[in-house]
Amino acid sequence: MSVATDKTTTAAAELHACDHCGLPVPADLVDSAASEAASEQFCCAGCRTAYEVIHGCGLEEYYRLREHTAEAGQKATGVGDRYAAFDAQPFIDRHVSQTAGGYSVIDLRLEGVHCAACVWLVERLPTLLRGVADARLSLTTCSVRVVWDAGTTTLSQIAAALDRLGYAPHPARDTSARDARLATERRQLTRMAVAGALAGNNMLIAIALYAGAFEGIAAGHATLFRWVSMALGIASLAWPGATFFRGAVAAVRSGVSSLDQPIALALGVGAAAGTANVLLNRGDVYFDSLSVLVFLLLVGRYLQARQQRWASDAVGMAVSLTPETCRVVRGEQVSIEPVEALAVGDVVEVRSGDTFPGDGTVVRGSSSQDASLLTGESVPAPVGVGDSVYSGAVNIGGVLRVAVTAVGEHTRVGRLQRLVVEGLSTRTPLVQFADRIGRWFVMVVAIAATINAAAWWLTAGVSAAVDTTVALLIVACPCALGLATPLTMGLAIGRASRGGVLIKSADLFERLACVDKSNPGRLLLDKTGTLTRGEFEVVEWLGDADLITVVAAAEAGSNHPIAKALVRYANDSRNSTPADEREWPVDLEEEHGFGLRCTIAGKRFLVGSTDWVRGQVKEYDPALQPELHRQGGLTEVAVACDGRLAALARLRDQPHGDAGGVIEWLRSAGWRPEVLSGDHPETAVRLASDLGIATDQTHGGLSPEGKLAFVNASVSDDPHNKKRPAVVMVGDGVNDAAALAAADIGIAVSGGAEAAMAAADAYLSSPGIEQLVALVKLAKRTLRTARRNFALSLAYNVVAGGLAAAGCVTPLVAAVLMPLSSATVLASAVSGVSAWRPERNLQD
Amino acid sequence: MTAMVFTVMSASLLGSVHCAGMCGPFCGVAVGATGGSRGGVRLHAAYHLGRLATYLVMGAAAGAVGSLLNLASTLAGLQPIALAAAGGLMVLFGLVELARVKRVKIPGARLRPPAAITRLLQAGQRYASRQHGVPRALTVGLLTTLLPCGWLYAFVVTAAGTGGPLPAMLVMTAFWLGTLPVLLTLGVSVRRLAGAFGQKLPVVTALALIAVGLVTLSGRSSLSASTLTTAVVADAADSPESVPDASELPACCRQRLEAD
Repeated sequence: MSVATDKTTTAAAELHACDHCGLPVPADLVDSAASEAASEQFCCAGCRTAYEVIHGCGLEEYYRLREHTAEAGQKATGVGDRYAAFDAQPFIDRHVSQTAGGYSVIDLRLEGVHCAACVWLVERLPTLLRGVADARLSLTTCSVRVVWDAGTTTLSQIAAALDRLGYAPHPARDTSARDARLATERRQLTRMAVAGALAGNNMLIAIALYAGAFEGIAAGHATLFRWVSMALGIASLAWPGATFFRGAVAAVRSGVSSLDQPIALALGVGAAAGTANVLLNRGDVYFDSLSVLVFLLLVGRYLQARQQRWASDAVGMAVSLTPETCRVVRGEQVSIEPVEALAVGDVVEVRSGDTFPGDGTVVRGSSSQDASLLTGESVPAPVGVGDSVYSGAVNIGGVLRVAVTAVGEHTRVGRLQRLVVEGLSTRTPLVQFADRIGRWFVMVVAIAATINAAAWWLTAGVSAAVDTTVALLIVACPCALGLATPLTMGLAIGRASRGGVLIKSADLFERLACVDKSNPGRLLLDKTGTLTRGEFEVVEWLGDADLITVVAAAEAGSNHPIAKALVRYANDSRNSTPADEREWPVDLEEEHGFGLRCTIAGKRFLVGSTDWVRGQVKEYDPALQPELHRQGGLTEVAVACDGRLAALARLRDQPHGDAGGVIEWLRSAGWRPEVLSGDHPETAVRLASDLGIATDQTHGGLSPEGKLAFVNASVSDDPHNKKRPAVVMVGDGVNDAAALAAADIGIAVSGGAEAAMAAADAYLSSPGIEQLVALVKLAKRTLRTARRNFALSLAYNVVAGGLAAAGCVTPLVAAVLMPLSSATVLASAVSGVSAWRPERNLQD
Repeated sequence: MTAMVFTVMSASLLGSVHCAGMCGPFCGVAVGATGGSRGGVRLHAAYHLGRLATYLVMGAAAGAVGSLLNLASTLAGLQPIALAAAGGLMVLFGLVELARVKRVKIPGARLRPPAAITRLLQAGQRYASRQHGVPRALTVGLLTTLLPCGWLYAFVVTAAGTGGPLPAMLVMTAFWLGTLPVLLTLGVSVRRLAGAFGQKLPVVTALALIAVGLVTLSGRSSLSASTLTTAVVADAADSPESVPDASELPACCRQRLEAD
């Protein structure tokens, strides 16, 4: 063949892609005439022929399809049509909602979600499919919330992509988590049973073969047994074991690494070596081990799924805020059913002391409901037929029958729970770190396995290479690694919510735990309701003592804390008339925030703040004159009778039980407490000094806007300094909502969880700041446990991997070790987190 | 032989991006239309086994040609020539491909396959499109080998080099195995896979061809060791005096015996 060496001197022809296969066309084959005419270019004669054939057969559609799918990064392979219904308008109207930003949102229930690895895979969706903005998978409910841009991609493409990943999606509204879970579990059990039967039979054959090797066996029989063993082994790989291959292939298609890949590789290597040995009639059969391996792996995976499901159930607040069972009225009968089975339209019976299982309307009976968790209103509200009751509230009083109007996630408490569950899926830096490690892990394992196989092959032969490599690949499954951190965080949040501390974001732990003596944090405390009970106490009564009775009568109808304190004082006081003999006020008018006017026994009275009263009287009791300017940090109420200021009452807001001790403890833990108060500065200072907080750390007279400005100033102190101390705001979930939201961490202590969780990162359900200590301790404990678990699982993988590479671990031992490792991590997480007690304990 | 099978499989795996691009649409026609994973497995099996069948036919034919070539060369008093010829051809293919990438003009660039092949293929595809399910997948698979694909034919040449139908079929099976992973996971678009090599893909495939050629040539040298032995045995028959007598002790031992 003569080779012409004259190089083309034309300007560097731009790179052409073959019109058929899309690969680059070798420079010499670029058809310059065609190029100018923007016509077809081919990389080889074969492609030209294929192109002509395709056009000749009217299959041009293929090219259009290819362009389309190349854009989507995926080629639809058949599953696309199955989800065409997802694009139908009625379906979209029913299941899809819109966000403020113009994105579409849907909740899809996924089949086959089993472990933390699935979360990695599914949440990679935005990188796999253009137009998907976010995907968040909840292990608890097996449901994913997908946010996408309807202009870029369609719901059917999203569903098909999820299907390709191995998770068949269903609209969440039509499938209960229980159904999806049961279907998955049934499949798992079937696979396990089949794998177990095949493994058992294969072991019997293996025994025959081994015995034969020692006792002697006819060559024909041995060959027969080897072939049967191979058949059983292949069956167990092809049916129960296929789940690993399917997972691995799905991950390869999506261009991500998954936990199934090393296992599939290991099974593949073992099967190839075994087949070769059977065909060539030499060496070990391997298939007995492979069958047992598949069985053990499936058992391990099942146990793992159970463990994790148990752990994530513990996270679900449904366990703690709503009952697990309820009494459903079915015809004449009242039967106890799991709350998951409850449907809209059912009628439930709720007895005294029970928690309502769903939102609904009372159809029979009357009682009171305590909805303090939701609304913060501590006084139970009476409910009768036709009134609304809420899931999570407690029935106090009689037996009610309630027609259910909303269940599960659609109830008020369900939405609250959603907030917590979503917070759980926020990627804290620690989780992100674990994720990154996990992603590299599979690759490192693959490389290590290759090196291992090569080394053993060269030094000890094929058989040893197969054994050690399979063991290495199985033992190195990073399930424990991926599991360690999210599991610990989840357990901590679940534990906290059962102890009455609702946590919205797992971030909170890391930010709270990083504060210590060397890295102090600022703790901004609201006064009323946070440091103090908001319950007043009269400490001083000046002037006419007889007026106590009159004041008590005037204030008897008011709910104001100060009014209550005055009434209490009168009832306890020896020189007042008993309550049932008092004269009742007439013409009572209350001026909100200042005081009230009324007439009792023909005399005109004013009771209210000193300034307000003084503005309306002309005379003063001379004995009181010198007292008027000496408030002494107490709250003061003046009483005037017929235009003459006749008495002064001084009240103190009582601090919560051991607020002083809590502050002391927090200070020793590295926090710098400061008080923000709406009260008179003097009042604030007095309380702060009682609690051991310096005057210059006390800021009184701040309106809610003032508090917000203060927090904003603290947070933006020095934007360039990353080491700015963390700013924690503790306050009322309603009044201080803005300040709570502005702080690095907002912790609400009162005002009802529903409102509080909208603004704050955490909600303490018991009044006062005592749970703050428990929260800080939990944060430290959680971080410590998470780090320990991470180190534990990393160490396990390194050590076990090393042992496997050294040949000390057989594949079967590896298959037992793998679930053992995640069980260890789980045990470590549970023991680490569950030692935490929600009660404050300043000593330890 | 093991080394050769292994090399062929690796090269085929490496170059299978090309297969996905070229046969992708046909594979899509074969397995794409009907949904369901269960059906998908059967269709995939039909298509790929159809491919394997014609590859094996090609391999057997090529092996027969190779063995004829060997016979002819031995009759002509030369050493078996098929392996060397195949190896040489592969290296040459690789070099030509490389040269084309480097814009070296090589005759034959405008060579078109005969229109008859195109017509035959079209007829076949039309026939296939009238079928459904497994028969269609099988037909499309069987037709694949008719595509005038240089890549496939390079390996047919290698198969011919083995000089026997059975080893040739083994080589073709290895080639087929190498194409499987990419064609089975058509979910990865070709462009993305090609992205791993970028514009270097033609160079990579050319180098793979050269590597296969070199391994084939090295296989010839190890084979020629065995032909060398045959030659030695033949020589021995011609000169009986150089062959030791089995009934006599070797000279060294004889001396020791005599000394005792």
